[in-house]
Amino acid sequence: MNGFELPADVRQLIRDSVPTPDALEALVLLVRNPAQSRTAEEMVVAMLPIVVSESAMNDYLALFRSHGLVVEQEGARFAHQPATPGVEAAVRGLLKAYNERPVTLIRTVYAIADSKRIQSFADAFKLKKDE
Amino acid sequence: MVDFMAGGVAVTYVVAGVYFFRFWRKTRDGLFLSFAFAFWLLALNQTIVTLLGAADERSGNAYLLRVLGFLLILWAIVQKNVFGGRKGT
Amino acid sequence: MTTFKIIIYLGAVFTSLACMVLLYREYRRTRLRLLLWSALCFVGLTLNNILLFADLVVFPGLDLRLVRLLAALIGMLFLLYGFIWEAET
Repeated sequence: MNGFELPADVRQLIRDSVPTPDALEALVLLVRNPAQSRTAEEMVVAMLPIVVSESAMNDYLALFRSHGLVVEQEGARFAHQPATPGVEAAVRGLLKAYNERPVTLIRTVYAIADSKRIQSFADAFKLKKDE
Repeated sequence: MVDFMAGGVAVTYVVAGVYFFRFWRKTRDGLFLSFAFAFWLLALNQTIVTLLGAADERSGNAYLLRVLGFLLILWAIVQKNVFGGRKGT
Repeated sequence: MTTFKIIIYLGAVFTSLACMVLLYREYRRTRLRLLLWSALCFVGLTLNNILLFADLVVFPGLDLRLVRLLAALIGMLFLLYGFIWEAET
């Protein structure tokens, strides 16, 4: 592979909350406009010309929320608000990579998605589940 | 026809083993390494049985390799559960 | 046919059956198609092992090689299809 690797906290953020390139775009959209809260439906419109279904968007938003990236406000509106300084730093790293190393970032998103999928084969053989 | 299919099956075992080996390199999960060797054993067994022909197949000993392959898989599953496998990367 | 051999062949049947069940269980949980193809592969391999047991242990007079190979081949093609199309993007 090439020499440059994204920082560990950014990789962890991707592993936890960015399953697809669409999720990446959605997260970046929210992070860039922290003052603006949006519903899933409004997110779908704001993402155009990238086409994301509303159910996929709901999944992403739930994922972001459970990892402290966004908060849910009244009327199922979501806005970026990092839960901890650690999350904030990782998000800053992600945005930096998005602006400066988009190819590496997208490759990393795919590579992590692959290795999670492959790992699920091995994890199938664990009789007791962690979660 | 039987020989042709046996060859095909052997090839799929080899290729599956290569994939498992790559998965092991990617994830470092030992289960994949065991699966890789298990499928290569199945391939070896299939090849030997086909080369020796039907007569020897029935004497049974050639199938020990194949059984060894499945034992390896069983061992990998036991290991995954007893030693907890691994977490994260 | 010795008891040892019977145990060994049944061990292979049990192992492949366990793989099938565990992979299918994980597929139900995660909905990852890779796991469905892998589970289907072990359906084929389990069938192959059962037929092997029947062929060599229960009915030594029969020759089920073609059916056995067919079960293994179909199963393995499922696995390779999954590896090629679902494992890596």
